Amino acid sequence: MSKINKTHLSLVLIIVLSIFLRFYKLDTIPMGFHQDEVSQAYNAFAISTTGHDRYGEYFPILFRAFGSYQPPIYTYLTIIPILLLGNTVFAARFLSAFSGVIVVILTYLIVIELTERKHKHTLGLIAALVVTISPWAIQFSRRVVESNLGLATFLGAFYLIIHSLKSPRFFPVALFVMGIATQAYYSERILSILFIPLFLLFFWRRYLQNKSYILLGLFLFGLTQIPHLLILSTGAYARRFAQVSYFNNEPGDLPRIVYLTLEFTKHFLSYISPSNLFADTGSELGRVSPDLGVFYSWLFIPFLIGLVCLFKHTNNLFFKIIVLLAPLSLVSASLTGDLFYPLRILEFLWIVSIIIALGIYIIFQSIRSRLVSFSIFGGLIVYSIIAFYISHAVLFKHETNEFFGKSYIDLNTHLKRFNDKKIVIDSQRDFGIGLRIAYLRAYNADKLAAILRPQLKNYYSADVAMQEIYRFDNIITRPFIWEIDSCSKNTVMVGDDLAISEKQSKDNNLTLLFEVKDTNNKAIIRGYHTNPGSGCQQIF
Amino acid sequence: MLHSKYNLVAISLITLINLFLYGTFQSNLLFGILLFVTSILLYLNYTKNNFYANLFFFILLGALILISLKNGFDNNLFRLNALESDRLASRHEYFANEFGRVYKNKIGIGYANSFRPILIKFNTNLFSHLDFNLFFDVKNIISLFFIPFFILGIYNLSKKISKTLVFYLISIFTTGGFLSTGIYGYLLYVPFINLVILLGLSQAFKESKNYPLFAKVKQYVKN
Repeated sequence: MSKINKTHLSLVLIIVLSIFLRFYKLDTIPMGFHQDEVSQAYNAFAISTTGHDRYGEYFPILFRAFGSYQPPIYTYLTIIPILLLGNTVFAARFLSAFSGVIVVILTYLIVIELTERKHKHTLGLIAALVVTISPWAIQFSRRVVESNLGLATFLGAFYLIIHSLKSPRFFPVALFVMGIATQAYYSERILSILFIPLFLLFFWRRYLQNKSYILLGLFLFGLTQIPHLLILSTGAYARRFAQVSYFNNEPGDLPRIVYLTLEFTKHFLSYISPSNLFADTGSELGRVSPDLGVFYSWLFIPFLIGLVCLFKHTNNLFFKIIVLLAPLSLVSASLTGDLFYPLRILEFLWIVSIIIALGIYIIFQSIRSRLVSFSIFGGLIVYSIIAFYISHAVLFKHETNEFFGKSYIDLNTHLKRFNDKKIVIDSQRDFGIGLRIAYLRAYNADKLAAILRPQLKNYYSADVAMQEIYRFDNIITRPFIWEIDSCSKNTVMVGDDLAISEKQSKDNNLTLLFEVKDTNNKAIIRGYHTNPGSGCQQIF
Repeated sequence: MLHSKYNLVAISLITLINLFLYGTFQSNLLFGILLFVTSILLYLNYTKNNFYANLFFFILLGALILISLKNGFDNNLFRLNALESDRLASRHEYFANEFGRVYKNKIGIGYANSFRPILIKFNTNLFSHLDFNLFFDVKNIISLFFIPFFILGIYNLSKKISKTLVFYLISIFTTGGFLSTGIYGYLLYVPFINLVILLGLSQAFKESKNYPLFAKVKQYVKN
């Protein structure tokens, strides 16, 4: 078999592995359906059926969602899987998983574009494989994560822009795609705006004879920013930044500029610390699964080797591009208050994956026996995939499924038995309950908009409420109003232990109708029938 | 980088400053003194590769590791506290439900209940000392000043990596797995941090002598 055929076969196998790791049981691992996920999904469904989102806003520039706004591209593109597959969790997550596979393919293409002829295919394959199996890449492909789409789009633009160093006519397309990336996720907004001028500064000589392509590229990039400019003054454009950054924090005794510089440096250092890259940082939203870091610990060794190799070839295009992109990819995350939030640094994690691949390649080359090197790395890869499965498919499923509202998906099935009753569901701790049910029932978007729109002042605003009241069919989701709800006839009150304690159920003479249990067989949600006593004012 | 008296003075100053910033002398004077001497010896080893410097370096490194293990050993490494025991019991149920007979045997249960918790804690300890915010306190101006030179020093370090340096890093990295998240784990890295800062300072000084910084950047971009 020729070398090229072996390369193609290996690439196909890697792509198949990446598809399997990203799509296998996509609807049930992770369990549940987080409110941010269902927001994207329902809006996609609403746009596909009515042209407006759940608030009645036609083709929004940013999608209003639970206290903030979501960038639009993921939602618009999710229309396609929802139309084909229906209102399912799988359909909502499909685009993220698909983006994850695209990232693997683009990794191979970018690495062979950046590398010399002798090494390029092997290094490209190793890089694609590292991205295929890395925890960050799999985990964020298995949820509705706009930043994964943002990464795929940015890397698409990145590939074109590198290619334009040889063929400048690709430059305008590259910048247009990069402009689209700014509509996919917030990090890419800042990254693109920083990257483009610095890239031109580094490589301006290569475009000297092709200034018209530069101008056209910048014009096309500018066109993609028009939607942002239209809402710049509304407060919606910077709402997410205001929510997550430390810019509005009190600087204490320090001058504000000093405080901001120190905070930025502290966060920047946390993102490049091996303690956060190669060890467990917790499994809250935006991080990875229990007992796992964004990279497997054993990848620290090839990372160090790859870093040393990279620094030894500073005149190489590979080095220049990485050195340019790496710090820029951390700027947006370093402006936010979370000490380590990998969801915001996917480009940086991708760069670390490339450096790791370089280290693995060097180790490969230094081991004479191909059998030994394949056995070692094959064994490590199998071990890594098993470790990821234990962490993500088992531990993450059982230890965090309530955070993803899994019980409220099961609740939907229970509620169908009570179509003749009024149902009040407490939404004090999970704002997405109503929307989850609306999505799964494919509730008419016009009717939902009629309920939600009156609760807003302006669609685009810096002031965005988290809690909203959902009222559809016989269901209402809002925080309980005990004086009203417990006195309501023919009513089912649904809530968790904090919403309805055992004492409250006794004091208010409630009758337990059903329980919804989690994966550990623990009752998470209970439904109670009201029995209004003589002390209640009759309201139903 | 060649050995010179200026570099020797510089490494001594950098080490003293860092050790004071980390509060080392206040916590453990002997440990601080040993770290100071080890930093100098590491620098000498890197620049001159002198036999006696190497010998004393390894002796002191051994002493540092022993003191760290005595004072900073993670007593919970091989024990579970109440919270961890609860979690392990829950996880036993999850694994039993998910893996069935693959888990429910001597090897599976032994791995999950005995070996895996230790491995995870060891792994967490290994990397917990590699947080740059431990080495560079951003609230301190001198620490901030050192950061760019540290980054430059990493680049400079790649040109020459001695076997002694590799052995030193592997030793303290492995030792770190047995140490809790106290001061001893990251203090073992201080000689390395100081050396890298010196390499960065030396590189910056050399570059500024030969080329003004702007001209150097211009030439690099031109290439």
